[in-house]
Amino acid sequence: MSVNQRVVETVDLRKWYLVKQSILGKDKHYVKAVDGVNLKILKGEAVGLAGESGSGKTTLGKLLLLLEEPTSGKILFNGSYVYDSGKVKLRNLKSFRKSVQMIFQNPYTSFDPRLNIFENVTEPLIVHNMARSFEERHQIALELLLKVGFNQPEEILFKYPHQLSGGQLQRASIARALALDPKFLVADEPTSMLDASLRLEVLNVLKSLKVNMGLSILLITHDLAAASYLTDKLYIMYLGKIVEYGETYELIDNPLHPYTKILTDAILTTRSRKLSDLQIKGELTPVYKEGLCRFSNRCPYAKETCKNSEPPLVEVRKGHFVACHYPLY
Amino acid sequence: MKSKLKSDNNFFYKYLLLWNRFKNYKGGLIGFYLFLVVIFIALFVPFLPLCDPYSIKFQSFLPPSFSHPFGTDEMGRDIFSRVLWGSRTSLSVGFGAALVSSIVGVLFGSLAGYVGGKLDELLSRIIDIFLMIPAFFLILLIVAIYGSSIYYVMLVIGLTTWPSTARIVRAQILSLKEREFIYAQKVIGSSTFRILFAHLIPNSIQPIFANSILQVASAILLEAGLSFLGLGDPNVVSWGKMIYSGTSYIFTSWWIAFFPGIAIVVTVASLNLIGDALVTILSPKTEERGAYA
Amino acid sequence: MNLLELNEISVEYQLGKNNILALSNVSFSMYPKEILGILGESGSGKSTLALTIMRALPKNARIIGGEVIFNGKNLLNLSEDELNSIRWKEISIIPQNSMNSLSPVHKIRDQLRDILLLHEPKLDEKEVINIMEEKLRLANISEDVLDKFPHQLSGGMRQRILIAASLLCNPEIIIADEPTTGLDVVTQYQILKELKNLQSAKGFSMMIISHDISVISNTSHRTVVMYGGKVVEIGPSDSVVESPLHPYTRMLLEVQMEISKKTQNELHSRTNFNKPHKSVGVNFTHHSGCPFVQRCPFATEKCKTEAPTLLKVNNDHYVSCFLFNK
Ligand SMILES: Nc1ncnc2c1ncn2[C@@H]1O[C@H](COP(=O)(O)OP(=O)(O)OP(=O)(O)O)[C@@H](O)[C@H]1O
Ligand SMILES: Nc1ncnc2c1ncn2[C@@H]1O[C@H](COP(=O)(O)OP(=O)(O)O)[C@@H](O)[C@H]1O
Ligand code: SF4
Ligand code: SF4
Ligand SMILES: [Mg+2]
Ligand SMILES: [Mg+2]
Repeated sequence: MSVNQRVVETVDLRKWYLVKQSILGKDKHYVKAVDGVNLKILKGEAVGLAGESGSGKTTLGKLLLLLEEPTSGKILFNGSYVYDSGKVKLRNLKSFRKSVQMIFQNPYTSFDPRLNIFENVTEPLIVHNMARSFEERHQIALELLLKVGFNQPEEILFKYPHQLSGGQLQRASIARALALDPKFLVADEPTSMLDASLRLEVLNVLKSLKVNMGLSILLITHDLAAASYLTDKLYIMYLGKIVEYGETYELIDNPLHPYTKILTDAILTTRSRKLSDLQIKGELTPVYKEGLCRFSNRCPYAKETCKNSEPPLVEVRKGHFVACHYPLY
Repeated sequence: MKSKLKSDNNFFYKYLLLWNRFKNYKGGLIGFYLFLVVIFIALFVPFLPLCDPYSIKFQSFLPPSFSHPFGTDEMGRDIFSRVLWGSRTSLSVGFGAALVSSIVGVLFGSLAGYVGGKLDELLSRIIDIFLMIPAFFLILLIVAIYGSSIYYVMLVIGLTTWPSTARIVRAQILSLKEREFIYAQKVIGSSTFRILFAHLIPNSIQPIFANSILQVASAILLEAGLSFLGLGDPNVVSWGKMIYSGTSYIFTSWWIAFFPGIAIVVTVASLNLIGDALVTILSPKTEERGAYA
Repeated sequence: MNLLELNEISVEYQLGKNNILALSNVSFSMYPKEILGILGESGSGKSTLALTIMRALPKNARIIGGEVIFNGKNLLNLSEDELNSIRWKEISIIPQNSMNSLSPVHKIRDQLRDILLLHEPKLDEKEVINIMEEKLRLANISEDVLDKFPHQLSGGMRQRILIAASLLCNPEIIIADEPTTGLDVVTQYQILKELKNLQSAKGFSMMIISHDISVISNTSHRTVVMYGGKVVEIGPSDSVVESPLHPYTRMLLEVQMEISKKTQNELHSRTNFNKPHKSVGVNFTHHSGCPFVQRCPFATEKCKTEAPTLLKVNNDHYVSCFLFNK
């Protein structure tokens, strides 16, 4: 097993949703939620996927777990195809489910409210027939909860979801995801519903899993501060396309795409406290036309070229890719 | 094992909380106590020192008196005893029919809600059609054609009243299935069957339960209605039938129809009181909106 | 001159046999033309505070004591009719959870018109439309949304509509309860900026409620820090972030995530990610003592039994902690 083993890889992955514009069905429009994404995640690597609301991050995450069927493209897991242009290649979906897991944005609705934490966390074991006796499951649950930072797991084991705080619940949902010993974890905005003071708690757990267990993580977020705390690489997504990609700090310190620049400027800190103007117009709206930069209607640097041709994703520095006609050198 | 106990405690605690909330509804509480009495009677009537409800050894048309608190009927049977025995028929028809109706309703409703698409459209159509036809006439027709054993009545009432349950279940499932915990179940590899029966249905059981209580009441009324029209099971004591025979003598011997009538009213009203309280407590909270405007 | 003055407000919620003291002796005042930030984690009583001022608390809530003085009148003593002349016209609110605050089955036009006519019944249709369009422009959103349903709009647009709704009757005070929670960073930035511009242009006072210290420090002139239903620190926002006094405020500043590599590395070394800190929820049954005692690194025996009171440390900067109570 080489160090640089690719755990997840996608090739030109697309997901188009059909939105009917006219009753006659003549003008067919597609929301291109994910439109030709190439993504690569190595073993033990945390990768950030950032972009505004509606840029397609969750859709991409769901595609990687085959919770949604892609429109076209390929998905590889540990080097073998799990999806190849129109066909799910898995002979055994259930065993794939064991190796990839997801945690969701809203910890409060991520648990079956009728079941206590113990029952919720050990549900995967029951589904996969992995620990048959109560004692065995009890032991495993305690270990899992310890792993996600509950120093006294017994205290919460038999509580119900509504009796825990958001931060505790989100960590418990990580514990549930770990029950099957996955190789890859998608975390969809795991901190956005949480109080600022609890965010670090959850990010620290993810960080320790990455460092200590070699788990590969895709962190979906719109907050580059959170991404920079956890991730090694960063993908910036806008309207279904990757517009910039590279090492996290390379991107944050030298953003080349105007959109990345705006995402970094939009982070509030207690240091500056000025709220100077953001260099962006309007809000994210789907663009149905082809052959133009999808960001051109909001970009402060847009020129004629941008409205006539779509910039490809090219490597401008070593390992730093950007899709813009006029990158911000 | 100690910890397991703790979880069980928690389970009971949940129901204790429910009871605490239920207690605040006066109507529901009154209904509950009334219904407890009815159930007690139905359970213990064979052990009570009553005369045989079928025995015709007494004089006919005796008005209420000390030895016959509710009087006797046209065939000289003791009405008090018959009313108490009748509770068994009513309750078994009520619960039996509600059970059948709930099972069928939950199955169809959850399938429609969870699978969605074409199946949902088809099932929703069927549900709509059933809801449009007045159940009573359908039951009347079927019983008139196929006969009227008490089990048959139960089944027929159950099979004609499930659509209202199905509709509630479908709405519940529709709102639950987009919740993240259902996605989480898919991610860990749960089968559709497991998601449906271990998570979706149990989470929608509370509103179903409230609805089922109300259905027990309406099934009791339906059975009484059938018997009143002379279509009830001839082999059991039934309040509906008693009223039916009593109506002929209503001006001379009012008690024959009156006491079974009261029994129906009390039973149905108590169930409705319980059901209404449960509906308010158990139905998913409606969002409070515009509190400030 | 204080515009709004809260004196010793206490509010409890009744839950079965238990009572939750959601606000305990909360006092502070709001000056004219200022943005006042209310900072505190979820469950600290921020929304309860907003609802108390609006007199819109849920049924199981009870105001145990205190007064809310506005224009020389105690709002807590007013009749429903008198209140209606103040609600929305003098004090309006942008409620928390904008997603659920708009009715899904009515057009924005009807919803805004309903609010406006409820408070200004004499307006004719033309005036109503003029006002609605003017306020939407102020909230930086086009009039096209009037004919849309909420589900056709993004989270940011819905939030802007609620901002427009709060402006309808030109109030003197606007309370914004978590106005950007759940929005992405770009929209959050834009909306905060717009709120700030609007306030300085129109000169009303605004209360911004948030759990995020960076939201508060970037918008407010003064900050009120709440913990466990109590006010623990009040001061000019600049002093609160530059020289925080209360251990809770300091903790909030410590776990701030920032984007520069240097501060991130500092954060790593401070918080040793292998040992996540034990988070303790706010304990409302604990009535005596300092509310922060379970999480406070400086707690002493005294803190467990006695409650500190709000004391002035230097000009306009108050704190409630025994560390400063010499
Ligand atoms: N089932 C669906 N049918 C139609 N359109 C969809 C569907 N799911 C997502 N979309 C559309 O695809 C686009 C991307 O959505 P997605 O949820 O992936 O965004 P996101 O980046 O995760 O946003 P957020 O930050 O709000 O979570 C949006 O325009 C959305 O409306
Ligand atoms: N309707 C209610 N019934 C019972 N308790 C409530 C209710 N609303 C809020 N609470 C409780 O009051 C406390 C303060 O809540 P809230 O004012 O909503 O805090 P915040 O807005 O700061 O998150 C919390 O413990 C919360 O659980
Ligand atoms: S290609 Fe043009 S419009 Fe697009 S991001 Fe670059 S400069 Fe802006
Ligand atoms: S009073 Fe005591 S416990 Fe409370 S914040 Fe100050 S030092 Fe900490
Ligand atoms: Mg998303
Ligand atoms: Mg709140």
